[in-house]
Amino acid sequence: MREFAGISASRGVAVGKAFLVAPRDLTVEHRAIKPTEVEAEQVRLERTLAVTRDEFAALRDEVKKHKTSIRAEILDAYMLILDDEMLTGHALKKIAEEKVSAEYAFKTTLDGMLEVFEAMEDSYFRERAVDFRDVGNRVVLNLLGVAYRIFEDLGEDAVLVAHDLPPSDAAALPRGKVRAIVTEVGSRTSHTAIMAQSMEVPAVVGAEGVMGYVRAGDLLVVDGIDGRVVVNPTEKVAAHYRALMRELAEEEKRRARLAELPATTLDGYRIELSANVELLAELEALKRHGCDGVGLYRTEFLFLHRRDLPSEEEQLDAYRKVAEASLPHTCIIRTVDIGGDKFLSFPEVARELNPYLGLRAIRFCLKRRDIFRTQLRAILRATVYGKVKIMFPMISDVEELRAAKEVLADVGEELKKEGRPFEEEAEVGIMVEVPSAVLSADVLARECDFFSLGTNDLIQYTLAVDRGNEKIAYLYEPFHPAVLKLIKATADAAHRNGIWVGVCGEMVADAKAAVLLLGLSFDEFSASPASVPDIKTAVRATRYVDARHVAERAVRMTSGAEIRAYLTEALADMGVPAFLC
Amino acid sequence: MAAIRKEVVVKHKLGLHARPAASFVKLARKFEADVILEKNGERVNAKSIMGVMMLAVARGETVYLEAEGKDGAKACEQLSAFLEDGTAA
Repeated sequence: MREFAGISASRGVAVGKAFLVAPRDLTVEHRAIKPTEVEAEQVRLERTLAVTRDEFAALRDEVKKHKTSIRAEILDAYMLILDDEMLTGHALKKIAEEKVSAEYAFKTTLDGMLEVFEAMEDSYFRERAVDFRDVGNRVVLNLLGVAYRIFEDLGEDAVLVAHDLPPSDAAALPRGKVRAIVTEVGSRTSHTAIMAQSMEVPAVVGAEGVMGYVRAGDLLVVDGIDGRVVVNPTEKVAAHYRALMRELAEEEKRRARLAELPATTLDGYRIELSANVELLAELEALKRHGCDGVGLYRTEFLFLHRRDLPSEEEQLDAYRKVAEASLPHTCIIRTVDIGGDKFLSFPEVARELNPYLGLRAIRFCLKRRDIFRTQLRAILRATVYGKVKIMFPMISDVEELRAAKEVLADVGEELKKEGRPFEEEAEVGIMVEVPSAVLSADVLARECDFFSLGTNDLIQYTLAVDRGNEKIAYLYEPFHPAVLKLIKATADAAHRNGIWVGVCGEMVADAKAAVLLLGLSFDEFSASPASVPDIKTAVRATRYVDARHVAERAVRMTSGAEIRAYLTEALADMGVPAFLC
Repeated sequence: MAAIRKEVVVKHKLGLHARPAASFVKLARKFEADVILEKNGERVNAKSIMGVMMLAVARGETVYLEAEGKDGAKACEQLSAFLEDGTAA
């Protein structure tokens, strides 16, 4: 038995047999050919390039079917090197002039070119060398006759072990056959992690040295919870993990039953528990995790990573899907919340020194009315397909809300003139995520239909802490008394003015926060679909009257640490399951 | 037929990163004319993704397009429009 420590990249536990994925970076030995063989070698190279192109085209089409088009577009770009005059021309010439094999000529030509990339100052271009190498190695493998479709003879309980899984391999993984994934490199945000999460199989990345030790067929335990890999575990360890697998499967079933139940406290206080969604692919999880519709649809993804703007029809198509998937519940579509610097189509905006305080979200939309109007038209048109609510991000002043509503009304008039139907009574709300919005909450509440508290930004703006900055991460305290005061003030102002108030942000995924926010009488929680079951468990184990009492005491305390300690204790006393406290 | 030469200041936010470079190369391949992209005296075939990316063209840089062939003028015009226009598809 030997254990390797790594990073947990996708949760879960699996026991299976090692399937080794050969490293992609090959050494190709110099191999001389006879002058009479030159033409045959050249033909072989050209033919192999064509075959590889077909393989990539098939892969690209496959990826297009399953995922967003970005991955497909990138594959598309890499395919261009397969009929690149410069690369192919050099390699063909090298075969003739140096009398070397096709694979040697191709590989050395490609390596020579990639050296130029690797020497570049811009890290973007340096990283592309890795991708080109991936494509080039596939050509070399095909030339060498190494079977590339390695995944066809995977067993039923295969654990993939690789130094790294390049994007082309990751995309080709057969669904349902892979039990777990282990790589020597990578991080929580690497391709491998994202792929494993979407396949819902456990993964450990960064398990250094594992390739040099494991042999094909070895029994492996992959612990995606603690980030460990155990090679040839003792019977005792294997039995422990098999039991854990069964427990997790039971837990899965319990969650499935939970999905059918409402988020109601023991004494009958019902809270809407909805999902934050960014990708359309996530909609499938709504029902599985028992979400009450979508509490926050982030539309940013439609606008990023592209040079043109999404058309009204393209947006309508996405919004319609979200609205329909949310039924019978509502869905809240938030207008785009990014800065001008993120729009590739808006190059005149210079990189800002302080983007979080800059031209972003509603500020950007009010400046670029054309983009804003197109989005509002699409959202309004989507209202006929479900129960759609509209939300403006980052409102810091009532004038901004008025201006945004004016544009919305104007767009509505335009649609009416065109005879396009839409729901005229669709609710309009705002994100409360800037301290100035909290302090003017009474004014704002009189001019909109709901509030959604964005905790991530509110905490960051209130405490003046950039949460991405590791040096000061310890100051990012969701339970800071000042933050709680603002949260309470928001809820109170909403209810004083007769509108409902929700909260969207990672904070609510913490059961301590969920109980506290319940006690502050929030009407809705919205969190990532995967965290909905835990929040629901906490809500269903709590009495509303107890939560009120807890919240009243917590908001009077003097420090985040004190509040945390108190909440942990109070939740345990109330009988909230220990794993959530 | 003489080659047509044109100076272009690249306005793409990303310069010629992988995807814009791919679009650029695909556009170049639509023309029969031979097209050269030149930066700081380095000349590459505009129909070669490796060549175009090796120039690592960034936004704001000056490059030269040179086209020779019967649709050379059109190639020059469309390719320079691509480089100058951040909103081109």
